[in-house]
Amino acid sequence: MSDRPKKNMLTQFAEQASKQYTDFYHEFLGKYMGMPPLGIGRETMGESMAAGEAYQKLAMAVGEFIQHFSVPLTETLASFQAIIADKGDQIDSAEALYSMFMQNLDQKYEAYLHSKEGVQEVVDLIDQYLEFKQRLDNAMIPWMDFYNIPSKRDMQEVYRKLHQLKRINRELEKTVQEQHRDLQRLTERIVTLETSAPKPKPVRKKVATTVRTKTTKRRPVARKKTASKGSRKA
Amino acid sequence: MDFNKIIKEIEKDLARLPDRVRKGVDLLSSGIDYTVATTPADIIYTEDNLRVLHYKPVKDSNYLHRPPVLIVYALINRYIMLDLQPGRSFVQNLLNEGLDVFLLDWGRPTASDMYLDLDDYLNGYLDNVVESVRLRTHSEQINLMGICMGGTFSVIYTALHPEKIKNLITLATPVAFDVEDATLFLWARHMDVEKIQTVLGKLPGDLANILYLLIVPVDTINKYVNFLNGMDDPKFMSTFLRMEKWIFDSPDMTGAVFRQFIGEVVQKNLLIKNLLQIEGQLVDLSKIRCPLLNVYGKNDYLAPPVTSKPLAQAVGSKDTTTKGVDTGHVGIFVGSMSYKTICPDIVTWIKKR
Repeated sequence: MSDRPKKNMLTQFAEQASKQYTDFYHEFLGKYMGMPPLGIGRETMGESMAAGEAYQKLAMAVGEFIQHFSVPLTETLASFQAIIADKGDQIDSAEALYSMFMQNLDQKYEAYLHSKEGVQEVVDLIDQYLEFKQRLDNAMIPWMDFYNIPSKRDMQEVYRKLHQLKRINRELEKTVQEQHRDLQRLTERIVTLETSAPKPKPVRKKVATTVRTKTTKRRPVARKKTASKGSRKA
Repeated sequence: MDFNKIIKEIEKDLARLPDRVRKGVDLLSSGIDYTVATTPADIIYTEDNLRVLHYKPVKDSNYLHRPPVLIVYALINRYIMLDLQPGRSFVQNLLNEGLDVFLLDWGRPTASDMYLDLDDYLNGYLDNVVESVRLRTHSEQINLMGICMGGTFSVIYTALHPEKIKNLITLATPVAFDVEDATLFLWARHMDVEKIQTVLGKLPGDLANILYLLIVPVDTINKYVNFLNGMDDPKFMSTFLRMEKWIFDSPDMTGAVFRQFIGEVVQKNLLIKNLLQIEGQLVDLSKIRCPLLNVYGKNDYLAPPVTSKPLAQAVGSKDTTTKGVDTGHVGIFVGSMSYKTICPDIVTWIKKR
């Protein structure tokens, strides 16, 4: 942004105010926030102070971001008079004037957001927010532990185990499904083999005509008449 | 430039404004209808937070085109944009053309889902959904249609399970991320994704919304200026409220999938280089041999053409069609062009294969 036009008074004032607050914080508040705490609650106090400091840094980053983000708007306003002087004959209505202004503004914002500085501003702001969030979570942990309330750290461990169980379950389900499909295929194959196998010839069996039971008397079997022994003639 | 004329116009507009605002407030408080996703559908499958919708066919089932189409939406925002209102419904347009349409709604992840990663989403959820659609329709293969990040998911899934996909259709789908044109990917390339996962456990939907609005600050302002101009028109108001509902309805994205997608697919650009691995399995785009239709918006600032066009060269398919349309990211689905040309062209392409 080295080729920007000269900053107007409002921008200079905003930058000055931001710088003064930053210097004030570092000189008068920051050094106390960074003091090592003492006593039983030293860890808790240390985390709380770190969270406080992270919040201050986030507030400063937000202020800086808003200030830099408004620069394309101030630049467009500053240059618009020249644009009107140059292209005044193309503007024949309020709507055309508005469209031209917004078009210029859009171009400036696109250039800013695409620039190295613009990208870094957004990334730095997100970084500061994450830093504050992390410090805040760390500051909450001792209090959650004290009141036996599961902290974020505790719950994340539970969620990790839950996820592992889900994975195992998914693998088992897939295995069961594969085996089910294998079983189906085998069943189909067996049925196919059974239906395609040649039918065996029927075997003739001698089937008994009487059924012997204890109560049934045995019928005398008719015997063939043969020559009696006594009738042999000498 | 006639300053007097311009000043008179501004005075006229300002004089009309209070009346317009009053009518607008009356409309807003009169119970104006802005219901979304009204196309009838049955929920045929659910798993954890996700559900699969089977839209009721318009045509007789004997005349339905087979195989069915499964629409995979993105993890960002919700599918309701595809079914915004009667007359502006991408889903309805597909149904009217005789397609059998299924849609995967990922739902809203909770804190307990923070460790769900790409393997869980693709080889777990999406694979189960594809199987359920195949079983239900007795289809060996299905048509897979992915939208935006859902398109990237569809590409990865097809590379891992090519035997299940008949045709692949990607709409506004980024696959190459080493580009300077896309502001969103520029930001994403510099983000500390590990820290976001560790500290937040997810990408909050609200944070994502803020970033999207920040990309186009002027359009955001213009939108509300236009709202002031049209707020006394019930039709305009109804459409505006529906779009607002969709824009600000962003579910969170689980931390693990965010870290993996941004870290490996966006920052390292592994997908287009065929170096992405999902649980040790290489995602090789050359394994995509099915026909591919890739549609992108020429004025898309979220997934610019340069991020989408390389897909056709990367896949192994010999039947690829890349089509640029004169719309933005959302215009492919909700604009008049969607109804008149984009949808019919997509359906014609599908029916030919």
